[in-house]
Amino acid sequence: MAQLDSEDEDMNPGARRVVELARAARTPADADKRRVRRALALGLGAAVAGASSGTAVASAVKAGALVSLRGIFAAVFVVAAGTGSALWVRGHAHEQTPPARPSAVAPSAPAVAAAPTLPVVVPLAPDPLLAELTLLREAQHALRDGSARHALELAERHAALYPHSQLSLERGALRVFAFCALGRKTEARALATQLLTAAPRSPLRTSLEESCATR
Amino acid sequence: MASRFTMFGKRIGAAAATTSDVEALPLHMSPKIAPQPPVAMAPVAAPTFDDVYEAHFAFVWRNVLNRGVPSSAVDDVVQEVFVVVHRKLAGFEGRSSVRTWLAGIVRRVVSDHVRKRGNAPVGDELLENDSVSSARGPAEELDAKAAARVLDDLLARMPEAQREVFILHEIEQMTGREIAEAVGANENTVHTRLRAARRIFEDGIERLRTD
Repeated sequence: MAQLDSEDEDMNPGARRVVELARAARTPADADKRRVRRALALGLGAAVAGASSGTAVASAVKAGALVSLRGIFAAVFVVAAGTGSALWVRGHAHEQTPPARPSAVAPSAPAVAAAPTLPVVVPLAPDPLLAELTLLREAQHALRDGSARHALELAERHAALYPHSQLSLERGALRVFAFCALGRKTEARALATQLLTAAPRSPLRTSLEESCATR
Repeated sequence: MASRFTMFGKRIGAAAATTSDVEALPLHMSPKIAPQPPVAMAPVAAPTFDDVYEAHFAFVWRNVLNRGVPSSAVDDVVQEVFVVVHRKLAGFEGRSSVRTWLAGIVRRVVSDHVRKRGNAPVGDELLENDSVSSARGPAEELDAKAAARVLDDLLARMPEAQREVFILHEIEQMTGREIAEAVGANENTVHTRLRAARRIFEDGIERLRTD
């Protein structure tokens, strides 16, 4: 095979210096690593729960239709029955999502309220877990964007809709972070303790321990 | 000192054996490639997600930026890469290095990202990137930022196939074999692309000096 001649084996020192400086410039700081890890702990926690329990999310992912959490989020229509207002939860059907979506709920179909004060979710996606993921993802984005109060509201809406959710740990962690952002340390500490007691080996442990709940 | 960048051809083994880059640690080592018969040998554990994240986060981050993802989107794209890593890690058999495997994932995720945002010219995106770690001093940071912009400018002049080889070899110090596996080309092709990319890069640096 062709091989580099000895004189071609490296670039000239000036070019090499630029590459090394640029490499250093693009090497992330510890804060970048922690920030992404924390976001992953939430997002992946949800994906982990789905993938490890053989849910429809895992099936969809394994089917090759989806490449990311962003891709998971098929459009979901959340109707706040209590106020009568409607919120379009941002989501994108991935380009590779299979074209045939079996019996999607017609947009004009009336939403049936489960309780007078609770929101009703009418998922267009085939599995309710997608709606859960969407709601948590939205809460995660709100928290990341500095809207901790809104994040908390979304997490509490999730708790009301899915009291026995398999994503309750992720939801709880999100609430802890939102409490921290709002300066509600006592609540953060109490909830973090509860979560870590219930799931001491959770992948969220590090993030929880680094939050205000332990300081 | 022997260049750590001369990894093609005969030097591959030596370079790989002497590298001190934590990201090159053989997390993928498997008993089936051990030189001795597997008599009473404890199996080497496959890397966990945390192992991969800790050892290769910087590799993924740099690759995402150098492939033209703007700073404003790097968090999301890196997250997506690790979502895929998590999903596929159980199926990773250690036939390639972790970095090779990751480079392939980054390649697909970034390609997907670029396609979704409408095939914007890579050069424009590259020039948006000015991410500089705050861990460095102001003077050095300025140099680093300027260097990153020069790098982006010159990367944008390369055809994509050459650019990715340049990134993986010159910036990430991957071997020709690793790159060939990651991009699905043979080593000769990788070699040819690298030489062409180096020429563009060195000519560009030379022009900057003389201008």
